[in-house]
Amino acid sequence: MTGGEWAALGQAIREFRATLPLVRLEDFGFSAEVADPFEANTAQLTRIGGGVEALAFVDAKLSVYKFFLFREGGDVGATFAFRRGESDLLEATAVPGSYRMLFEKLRLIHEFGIPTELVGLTREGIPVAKQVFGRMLPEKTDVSGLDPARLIPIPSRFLRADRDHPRLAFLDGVPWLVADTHDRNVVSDETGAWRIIDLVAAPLPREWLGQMRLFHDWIERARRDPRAEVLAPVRDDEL
Amino acid sequence: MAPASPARKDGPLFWTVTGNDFGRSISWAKRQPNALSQQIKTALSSSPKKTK
Repeated sequence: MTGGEWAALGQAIREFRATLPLVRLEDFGFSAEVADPFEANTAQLTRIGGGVEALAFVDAKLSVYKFFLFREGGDVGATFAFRRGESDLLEATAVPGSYRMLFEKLRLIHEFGIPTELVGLTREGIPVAKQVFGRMLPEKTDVSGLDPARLIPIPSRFLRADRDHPRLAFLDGVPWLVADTHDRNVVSDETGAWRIIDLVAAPLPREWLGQMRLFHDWIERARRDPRAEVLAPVRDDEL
Repeated sequence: MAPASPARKDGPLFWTVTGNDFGRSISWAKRQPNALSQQIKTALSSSPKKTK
């Protein structure tokens, strides 16, 4: 490598670290040297929950910190895998995800739900995210009507998912499948508004949509009008 | 509800994670080679040596 290339690499690393700082578990009072780093609460953080992707803690200022598990092999978080089912149906199955997909999911939550930021990545590889604290909704609250203008329910004739409430959302203009927004993944913020705190998501695969004309047409109509019907309206004189 | 701490092999794809899962992952990560470091070393060893 030339001197210029080394300088460019160094600059790229510095810019990457500015976006994704390295943090230490010890910064939060935990230790990476023990069998269970999160066995006990620390002076800063108190455990409030956990799920299939992360453990959640809260600090004295009511900020929630989520520590995401990376699996042996490097998978982290969850996303969707797609396959084409019968009768032009797209089937979505939740699978372990990647760091890139986790970061995109956190962007989605920030964009469509509770304010969320990526605090950093520990030297061991644990992503740490920070969210505003919200109050849990009463159990079995019906959240099916959540933000229908931006989280557009996907008609069941187009897609079947193994997670609740499959919805269409646009992130930077790209259509995403967003799901798992059940009552345990939605909270009430200080104004009483409902906010998503977790979800499972994946960009809808362009290669599949290219072959599924009705689904593709609906997505483009829903982009302009979230209330778009399954079938495009037809003029009487075309019937 | 996801199960807690299953056996990893042949277990469910998702489970409610525990602190011990993190301990295992950290231990695994420490045993892995640093891929970026290896690439840089390879690039260095294959680039022509400069002479003054």
